[in-house]
Amino acid sequence: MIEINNLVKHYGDKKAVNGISFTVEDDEVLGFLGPNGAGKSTTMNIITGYLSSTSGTVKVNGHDILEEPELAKKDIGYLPELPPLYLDMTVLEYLNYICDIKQVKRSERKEQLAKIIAMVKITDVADRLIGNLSKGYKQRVGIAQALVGNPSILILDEPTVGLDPNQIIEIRKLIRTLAKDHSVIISSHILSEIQEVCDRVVIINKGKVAAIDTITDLSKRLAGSSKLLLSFKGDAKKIMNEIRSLPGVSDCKIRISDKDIHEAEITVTGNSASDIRTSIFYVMSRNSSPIMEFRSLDPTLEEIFLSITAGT
Amino acid sequence: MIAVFKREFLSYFRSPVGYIAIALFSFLSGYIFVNNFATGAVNIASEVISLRSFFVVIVPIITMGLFAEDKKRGTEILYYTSPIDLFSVVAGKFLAAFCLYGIMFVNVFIHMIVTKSCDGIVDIGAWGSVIVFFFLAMLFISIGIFASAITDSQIIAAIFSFIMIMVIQLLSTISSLAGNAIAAFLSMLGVASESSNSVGEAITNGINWLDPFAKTSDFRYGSFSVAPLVFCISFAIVFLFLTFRVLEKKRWAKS
Amino acid sequence: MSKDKKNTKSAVTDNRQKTLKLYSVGTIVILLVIVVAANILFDSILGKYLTFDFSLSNQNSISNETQDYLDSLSADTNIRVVGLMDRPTELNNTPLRYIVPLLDDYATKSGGKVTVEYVNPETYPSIRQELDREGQYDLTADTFAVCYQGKIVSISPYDCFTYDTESSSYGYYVPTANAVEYTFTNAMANLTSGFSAKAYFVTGVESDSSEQLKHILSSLGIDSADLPVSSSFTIPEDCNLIFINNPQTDIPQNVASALNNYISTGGDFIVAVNFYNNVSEQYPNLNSVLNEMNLNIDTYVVKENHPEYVLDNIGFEALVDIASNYTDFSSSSQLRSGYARPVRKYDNPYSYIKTDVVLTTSAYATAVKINEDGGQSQYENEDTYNVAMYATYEGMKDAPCCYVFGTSYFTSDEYISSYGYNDANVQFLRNCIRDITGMNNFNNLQVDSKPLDDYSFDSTKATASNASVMTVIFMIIIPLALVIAAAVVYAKRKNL
Repeated sequence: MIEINNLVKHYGDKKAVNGISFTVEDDEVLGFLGPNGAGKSTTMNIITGYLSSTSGTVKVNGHDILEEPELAKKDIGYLPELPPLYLDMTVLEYLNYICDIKQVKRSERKEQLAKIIAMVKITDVADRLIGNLSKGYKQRVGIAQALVGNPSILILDEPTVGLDPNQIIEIRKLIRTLAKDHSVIISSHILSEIQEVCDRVVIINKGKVAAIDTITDLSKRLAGSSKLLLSFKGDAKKIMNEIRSLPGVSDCKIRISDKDIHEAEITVTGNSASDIRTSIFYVMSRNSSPIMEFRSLDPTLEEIFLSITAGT
Repeated sequence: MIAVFKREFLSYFRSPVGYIAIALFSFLSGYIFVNNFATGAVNIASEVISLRSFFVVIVPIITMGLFAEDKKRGTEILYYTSPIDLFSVVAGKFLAAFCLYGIMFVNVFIHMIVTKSCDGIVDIGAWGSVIVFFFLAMLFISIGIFASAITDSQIIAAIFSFIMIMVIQLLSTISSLAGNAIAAFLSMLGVASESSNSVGEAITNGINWLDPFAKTSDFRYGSFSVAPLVFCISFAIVFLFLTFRVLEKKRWAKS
Repeated sequence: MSKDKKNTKSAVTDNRQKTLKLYSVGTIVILLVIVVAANILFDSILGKYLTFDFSLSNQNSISNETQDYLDSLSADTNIRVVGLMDRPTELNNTPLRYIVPLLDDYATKSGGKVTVEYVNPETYPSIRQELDREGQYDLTADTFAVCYQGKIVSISPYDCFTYDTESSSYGYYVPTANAVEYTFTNAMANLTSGFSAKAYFVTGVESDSSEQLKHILSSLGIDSADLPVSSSFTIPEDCNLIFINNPQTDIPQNVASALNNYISTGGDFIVAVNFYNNVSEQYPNLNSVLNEMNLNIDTYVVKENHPEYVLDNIGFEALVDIASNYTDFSSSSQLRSGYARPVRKYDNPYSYIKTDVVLTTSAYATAVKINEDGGQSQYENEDTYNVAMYATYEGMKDAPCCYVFGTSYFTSDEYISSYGYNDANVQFLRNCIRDITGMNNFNNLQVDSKPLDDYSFDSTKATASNASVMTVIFMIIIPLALVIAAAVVYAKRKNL
């Protein structure tokens, strides 16, 4: 369990973190969401004891990170944004070294490492040089590093950034496995990633908590408005007017017009987003206008913040 | 501390750095030894003393990466987020570099054995020089580590420690130059030559007090004293402590 | 409300940061203070006690004799040792490496009685004037001046060692012993004792140079000068001691009579002759002087036949016994002698002269005459011969006295430089000089010179071929092996 109370961090005059408080329960997966520069990494660095806060407290399983840093750090496994890997070591050499600095008992070491290596699926690269591994494997080694010493809390900073889609899926799977017996904090600037794996989400912006909520509640709050993207051929003006006149559509505008293909952004109010698609289809069909693409638009984080702040 | 020591020490031998440093030292010490051997008289003490002039090259090579590389690769975060003390990280790295120096020095021990087997003399002065060598190594390695901690560029770290060690090696020259310059400056200002000379001399002596080479020069004759060793080791501790503080500063500093 | 909260927060903020910064800087300052204090403590207070000289024969520490001497001086004594040079920083391979550290040791252990300073007369020309107001001493640069109450002994670094006499054939000096402490302590002792004397060497009789003997005299506080034979030969007023050191030819008549006059006024002298290159020289004039002291030297060479005494194959080089009256002149009971002429009592002795046997052969020696053609003929039966004798007037104040050595093994440069100042013969000679000059009343300091470290190899092992083997091993094989290891490790790990 992590209790974060009123955390503040100043860099000179700039307040990177400004009064953040939240709690992570045992065996909970918490999403830590915010745009780049919102203070996610700073907060995580403070929780892990890398940086000291200017004020506020962080308690890890009851141990204050400033007052009992060694006890607190023992319970945390941390994967920073840039995994702390020694490129000149093999995976096994590296994990053994991590065991050394995390003071894992010699008797438990072999068993623990075998378990971790199997769990993060790096058995076949265990004897290879880290510098020669692919990005996905490096990320796994980073996670393996965080798992050494059996910490009850895992803190993963942007664990999927820079990976290709297959690797992202693998890593997410791994995180879900880990979540069974760890408290996990995952930071990300991608909403969908958080939705996939998290129970609860903390959204921060400009160093402050913008929202703390479960995924379902958040979806509900976001459901207040949704957007659809429609690409089509045909008479743009006429079709647009028809769509606008549909019930539930609050706005419709052309984003791009390229020769005869138009791309429109349709804003829908209420929770009838699914129903409206049928009506739009009929509009297009009536106009013999071919649909080139038709999908719902994921809200950007900025929009979420806008909507959240607008709602409060 | 042992964990960090083990990693750093082994990493010298995982990359060519350690081998090259030892090869360099072997070549240089071999050159000195062979030259003496050819004359039919080998004084190990003077060999060891000549080898001290290579601190300026070898120490930067083996210390430049110790912290700078960690910073560049982001691995330093391990030290902050693992349950180990930062000072033991510094001590472990220091020990690793020091042990590498010890391994290099095996060359000189081999030379001693050869000398002995040729009925030459390895006298107490030679052992005195060896003791001084290791204490100076401590001092210079701690300077090198400090240099490595204040920057994340290995090149800058190497240049910084090179300059520091160079200055210390030239301290006796610098001191007399500074003393004379200040004496000349004072007499130019119209100060009586006697007092300006004494000020110059005081400055020369003051700077000389910092010179570890002058302090330890009696060891090679077999006259050992504790004070210069205390000097070396205490300033080594100062630099290690400064390194520790520089690392810790990162936790709370403004940027 | 929220604005207020923010303000208090930022105040708290700064405090934590400030505290950490203060703590950090504070600990650094405290550590620096402790380190500087500890260094000053060790440097100036404990340093003296925590210095240990483990060198062979303590090259750079003063010996107990010197320490006792320094302790015996009154507390207000101030002996100034001034090096007329900048304080040397690079001592390697210069004679100064044995001088500078030792002088520092004098300064530390004398408790302020001896001060050591280095003043370069080129930078501070006034130093000469300051030390030597009347300009009576020769204070050249790069020498040391030992000053006490206006009197100065000047010591050149090269005077502090004995050298192999074969140096000229090597083309460079080969020091054989370190006499730095010997030189400096004696200089100090002579200055503080107030003793002074002057010795003259009779030269111009094909005698060898007496440089080593002069060093010994100077260490005893005796100035020396040459006195060449000439038609106007006179013995100066200030003469306390005459040396006739290994003349190869006899002294002229006028010198003999001058010496006789000198004896009649109570003058002391030391004569040494030998039987090496001058087998036909009978020294009639010298003998006429010696006869005045009831002594005579013969034109034979002493041949030792006792196997325990013989040093060479023939018996011309041999050990000699010290007569019982003189055993306290040396720590050893036997001394070396070689090519000695027998010294005996004169046939018509004066009753008021007392002679004393000083050095004798075994009872099995013979005297041998070497013929013109180089052949030997035995002249005397096996007997005990005297190699050195002493004579003085009995019952007289300021009586003349003399030592006569039949061998050059006590006074020649060749002998002293080969065996050094610690040799038993040299020690014996020194005590003879002390005795004859009455110096024993002033001081009897016995400071040994020290053996030098010799780093040379067994010449059979330091051969050129061994040297090239070493070159190959240390400069090629070992570094190359390491470079290869580096390449192998690099290549191997790169592809892991």
